[in-house]
Amino acid sequence: MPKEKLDLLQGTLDLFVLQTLATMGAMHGYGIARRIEQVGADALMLNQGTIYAALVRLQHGKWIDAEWGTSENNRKAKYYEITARGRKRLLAETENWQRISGVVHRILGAPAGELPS
Amino acid sequence: MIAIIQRFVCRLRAVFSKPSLDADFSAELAQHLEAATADNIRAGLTPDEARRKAHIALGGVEQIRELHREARGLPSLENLARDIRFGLRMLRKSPGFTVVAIATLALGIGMNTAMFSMLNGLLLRPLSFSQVGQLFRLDRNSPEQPQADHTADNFLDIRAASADVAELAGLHTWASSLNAADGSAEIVGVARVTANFFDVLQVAPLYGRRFRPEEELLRQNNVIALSHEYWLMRFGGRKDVIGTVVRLDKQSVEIVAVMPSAICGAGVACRSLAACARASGSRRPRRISTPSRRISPGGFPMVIVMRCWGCDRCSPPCCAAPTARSPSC
Repeated sequence: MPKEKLDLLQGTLDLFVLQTLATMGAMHGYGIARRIEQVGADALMLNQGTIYAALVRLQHGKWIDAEWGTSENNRKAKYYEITARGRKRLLAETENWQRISGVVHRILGAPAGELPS
Repeated sequence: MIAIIQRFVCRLRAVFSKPSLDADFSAELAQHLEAATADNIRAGLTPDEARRKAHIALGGVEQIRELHREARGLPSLENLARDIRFGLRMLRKSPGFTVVAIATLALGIGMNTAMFSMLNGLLLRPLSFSQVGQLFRLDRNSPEQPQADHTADNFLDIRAASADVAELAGLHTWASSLNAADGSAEIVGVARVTANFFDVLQVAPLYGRRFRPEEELLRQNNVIALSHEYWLMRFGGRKDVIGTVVRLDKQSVEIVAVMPSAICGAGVACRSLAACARASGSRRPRRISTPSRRISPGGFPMVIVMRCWGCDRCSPPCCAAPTARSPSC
């Protein structure tokens, strides 16, 4: 029986998409989904289709741009690219996540009988 | 805030370009599945198996479409539109019910509107006269008959008794028949007023002149002032109406003034004075015929309006006239 996969936390998918686009440059939807799955080492349960709702949300916020282009095997594909605004948001959100995960880590890792200072 | 508006505009735009966005997304999904299938074939699966795997990884196509639509558009608005369309279809199916429902709504709304317009005019809007706190209407009340009208005698007595603190004007409203020069006749509401009526209200004529004191006398009282509303309606707002002679109750009277809309305007301005009360939609104050001893006692009922100098709004009645009280307080 395969190891249980983690559900995506609300709001993290947008962040993953931004991060992927920031490191990989322009990509199409399938490419983004594959990349997230690979980096997540298949420990994440990602319904690839949900990527597209995230892409729409990010477009509305002007954090990414979309344009039809030609894929590597010469097919029409819609390519997404992070904007300057998107990079700014990615930075802020990443910091935020690191802070939160630090706090969670500290609390969960606190030895019994001792409160984290 | 701007970001929220921007996002809203994006969503709104998406609602109105739905077909093209749907087609766009279908193409994108097809490309996704194709790329995924190709990857799976490269990984060594049979074409059928590869396509099946690609579909599973993507999730249900219809479900994904729905998610996409929700993210890009205004699902609540679209649902509302769908509900409205459904409602209209149902209404068309049962016209009897529709008629009853619409009639009920129309009646309810109409009655409420009418009621509010009336209350707004009568109670909510303040009088538009200057220093309105000095204005009172004098009522006469006795144990037998509360809120009775005054007689002309009564008016003269009160005027004499309160001459040093207040100025009184009297009026008497009546429906009269008016024939204009073109011969057309109509019934209009007319207030017969003392010569100082407009002075007490402190309203100057828009055109023409005020009444003169001697025009209070019998046989010299053949002058009238038109209300603004009636002037516009009947005389088309012509300024040369001043000096025109019309027939009022078979007597020739001269139009000497047009009053501003503050007075007797839309049946609103004179409210607590009951002066030019809402008559037939048209009215003009005319001279009272002789508030003098020549009028037989109780000749006609009069409403008395008083401007009391030095009275502040709602001060206790300051003008010690025997039968006076100030209901405005």
